[in-house]
Amino acid sequence: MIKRTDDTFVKLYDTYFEKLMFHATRFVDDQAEAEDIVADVFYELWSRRDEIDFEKGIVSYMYKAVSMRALNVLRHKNVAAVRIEALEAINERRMDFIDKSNLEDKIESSDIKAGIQEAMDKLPDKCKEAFTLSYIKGLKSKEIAQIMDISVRTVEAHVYKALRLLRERLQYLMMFVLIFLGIK
Amino acid sequence: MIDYINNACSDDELMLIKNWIEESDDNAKELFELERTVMLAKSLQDNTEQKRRVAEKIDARIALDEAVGKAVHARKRRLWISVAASVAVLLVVAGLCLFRQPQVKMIHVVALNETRNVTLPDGSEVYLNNNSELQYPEVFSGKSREVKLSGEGFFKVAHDKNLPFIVEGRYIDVRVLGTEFNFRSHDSIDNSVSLLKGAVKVTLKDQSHDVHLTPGQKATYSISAGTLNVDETNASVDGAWHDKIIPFENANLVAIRKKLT
Repeated sequence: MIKRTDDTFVKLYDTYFEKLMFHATRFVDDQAEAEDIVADVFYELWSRRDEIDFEKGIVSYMYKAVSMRALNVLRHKNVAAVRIEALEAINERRMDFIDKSNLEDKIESSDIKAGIQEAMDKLPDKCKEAFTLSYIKGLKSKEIAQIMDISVRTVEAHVYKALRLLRERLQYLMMFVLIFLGIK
Repeated sequence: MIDYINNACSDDELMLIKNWIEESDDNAKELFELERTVMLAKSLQDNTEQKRRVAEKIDARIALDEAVGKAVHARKRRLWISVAASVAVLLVVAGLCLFRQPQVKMIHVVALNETRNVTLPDGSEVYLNNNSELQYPEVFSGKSREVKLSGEGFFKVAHDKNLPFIVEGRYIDVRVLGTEFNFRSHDSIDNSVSLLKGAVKVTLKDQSHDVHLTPGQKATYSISAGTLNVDETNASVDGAWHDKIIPFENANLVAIRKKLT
């Protein structure tokens, strides 16, 4: 078992806060609920720090803990069983994906972020606007269509295009950094 | 799919997505890569407020543990607080200077057998009733204006939508944007908040429960029951005592300055 210090907690919290918050919102759509879930997980981590191994699989543990709590919240709220099952199934796949792509944890995320910011700035105007309204402001396609005075179809096309462009950029960045890391 | 990633899609649409990713690995990969892209785009937003709020929620849970007697050592709590503070330090180092400097000069005003008027650094006014104390920093900096009350105070808060005003009491906290309200914060008799104008949110210190008040309402905290209730009230009657005070000029105010240790 690795010796952990308070520093470990700060680092974990700092590094994974955003990712875990986003993960929580894969299940619940209320920010406050998501915050409570993430808080509970870190609190539990703290309470059980004598039992938990902080090196092996801690990331996986945190994701699973968030998943489980979030699903429980939904069950408590009597969300449709169909929905819960679908979310669970999708999440199983997501966990596989995350396990496979854990290389990205080794990549300095501020480089990636800078790259994404740059890519976002370079997006064509309408794409950028639709994307920002959708994911940054959290509006629905119908609302965006009204604001931008275009059809819902067009909104979705713009957002999808933005997503693809950004994803390509991200893949490129990650490959670039991996090659760099490989040299070391 | 767009709505899915925002978690705004219907149950049926969700099933479609699930079936789609189960069709092939490539489909799954595409979906999750898109999710990751969105996550990174969102992470460009400033989240320090939320991060700090959640760190405080964690701290509150540990503190509650302690109160219930679960925690064996008080050390545990102090360690986490230092963790939350370290998070603050990390964020400051990242160039986001949103947290108060640890050494802020606190002003401590005590009203003994008298009522007293205090003007805060932002122009807000607080009237202190007999045997009441108010603590506030010399300068309001950071993301909120925080003061501590023991006893009874009538507040006329200067409106500032960027800096919420928070009064910390013995058992409950009051969060406002700019309003007039009366706050009774005592150790052993029931606490209450009566609102005249504006809007406030009253929160239990362990963050387990909160209520929003509109003018003409009063929130009462029962110490024995540990509950928070809201009733209609004649708020100006609840706060009428403050009119008896003749406001002092700032220069005449007797203040005890304490440095935070």
